[in-house]
Amino acid sequence: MPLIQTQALKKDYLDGKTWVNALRGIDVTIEQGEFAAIAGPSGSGKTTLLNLIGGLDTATSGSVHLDGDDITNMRSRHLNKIRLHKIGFVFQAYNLIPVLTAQENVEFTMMLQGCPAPERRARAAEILEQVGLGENMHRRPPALSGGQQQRVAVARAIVTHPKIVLADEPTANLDSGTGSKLLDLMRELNEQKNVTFIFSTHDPMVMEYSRRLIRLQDGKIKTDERK
Amino acid sequence: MKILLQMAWHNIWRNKRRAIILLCAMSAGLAGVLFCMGFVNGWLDQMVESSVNRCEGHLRVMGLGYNENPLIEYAFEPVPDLAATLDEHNHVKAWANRVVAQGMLSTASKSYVVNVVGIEPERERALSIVAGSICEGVFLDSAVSGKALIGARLAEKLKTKVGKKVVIVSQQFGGDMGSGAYRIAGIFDTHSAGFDESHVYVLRSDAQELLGLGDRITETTIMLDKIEVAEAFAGELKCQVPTDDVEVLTWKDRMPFAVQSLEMSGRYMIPFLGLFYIAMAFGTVNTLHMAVSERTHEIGVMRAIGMNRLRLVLLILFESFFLAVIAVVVGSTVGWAIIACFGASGMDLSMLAAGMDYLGVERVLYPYLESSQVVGASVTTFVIAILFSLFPAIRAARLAPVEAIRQVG
Repeated sequence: MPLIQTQALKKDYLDGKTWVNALRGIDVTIEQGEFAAIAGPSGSGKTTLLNLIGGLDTATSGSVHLDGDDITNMRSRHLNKIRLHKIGFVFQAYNLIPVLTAQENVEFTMMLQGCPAPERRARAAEILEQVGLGENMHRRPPALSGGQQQRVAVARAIVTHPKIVLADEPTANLDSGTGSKLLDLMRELNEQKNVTFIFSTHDPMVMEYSRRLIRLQDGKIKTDERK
Repeated sequence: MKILLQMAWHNIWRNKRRAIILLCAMSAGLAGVLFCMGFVNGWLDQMVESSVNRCEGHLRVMGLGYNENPLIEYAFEPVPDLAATLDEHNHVKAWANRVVAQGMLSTASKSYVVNVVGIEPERERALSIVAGSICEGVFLDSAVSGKALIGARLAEKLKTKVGKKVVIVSQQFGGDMGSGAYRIAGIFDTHSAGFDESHVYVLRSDAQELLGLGDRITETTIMLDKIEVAEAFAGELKCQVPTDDVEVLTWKDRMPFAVQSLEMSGRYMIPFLGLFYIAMAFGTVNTLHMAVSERTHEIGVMRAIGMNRLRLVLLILFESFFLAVIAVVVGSTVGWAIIACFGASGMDLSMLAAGMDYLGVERVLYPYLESSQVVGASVTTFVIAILFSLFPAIRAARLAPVEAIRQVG
């Protein structure tokens, strides 16, 4: 059973007075453990596709299956649970809750899952050590660099052992060196823990790192290459 | 839950200036409400106490009907054995038989309608503040008849002074007119313009002679050690006096306006309280709306990673909870402290002396607060702050994650 399967997925939305056909029928299947990038120019629909896969948005037509569940028309409450237990998110920037420390940010999703405080504290510390932020775990986001903040975001995304991590242009605000280290980290996690990663990006370096590159153009899949 | 509380606490201080302004406004408003409550409490109590101490007493035994229609025909013979009861009772501080009637006080040039009060000077010293309010001349002496005390304002109006003669004319018991000439022995100032303008004191024996009363009196005035026992003691006395001739009245029966004012004091505060609470509600809603708007992206991220709506509402409510707790603690402490301070030292309103005199209130007020008032105002402040924060909280919870995430900054 594929981890993600979309069929004839369409999304239209109103931008001012104009209807935009953001996705025009996407059929894509992603298996557990993939390290895939969805690439394309601005407006090609990559973020929209990621949002639909992540249950953050609803499709105009077509379907999305995640880990066997049809999430296309799922109620908000159920989608919330799916996002909490099966998906990790890494956004472009301003990812973290600024009033919490790095450790508390990582603990946050575990808290939402109802994980006991001692356990989540230990797991957060452990994962922050793994991403190289053991010494900075008590700092708040404004005291961390952009790269460190994204590492915390990755730690928060994987600490609950999700089926999939969706990363929306995770390197967009990072210099190439920091971006490269972040990608190394994510690939390591992918290889060691079999966490599925899907990126939306227009960063060539991310495309280079990915093992599967899905190119979108005008809301359609232009190419789908496995390396 | 601890993380939510922690987030809420830190969120408040993300914009320190805004939080402090809101907290100052809420605290100052609550302190102001409490101050007004304390002031009104002190004012009303002082009004009652002043009237009681000036002349009214806590209890009066009067001829049946005299209270509604103060005619001299309602005068009565002193109730047998009443004196013994009053002398023996623990709560009775002082008492006196008095004669009170309306009359016309005249000098060579002017006349005024006054209440003529016939007193026993020794008993009156313990019963009222008039003896202690003599500002010129001396108090009455039971051994010296033909003397009168008049109020400072009346003396001023009549352009008379100590040593001058005045004539009092009044209707006698039985219908004839009686008159008498009295030399002014002293002038009193009780700080009540109305009272000082309208009362003249003479010896009770002089008044009885003027009014043709014989041994009759118009009232037995009783001062108790505390006002709270007045009702109970009045009940006891009612069993002892002949109820077909006389009646026992408490200060409440005599001063219905004061009683009504005391009962209505809560209602007087409603417009003021309403304004404060409305302002506070708007302040809370506005502040939290701004706070939510500034954090739209962050709320989107939290919703995306799985925070449900209920938890988000709780987060905003916790922020409001902390604001309300701080405002209530600071506001009630400041309000209580101000009232406690003035309650101990008194609020000197001498600069408003003329106005205070017209209202019959002492120039120094002693405000106080009932604990129920502090609790009531604090709980209301707290509940309104929480209730009105529901609007921004629900608004935040309704944000679609995908829309919220798009907003950066």
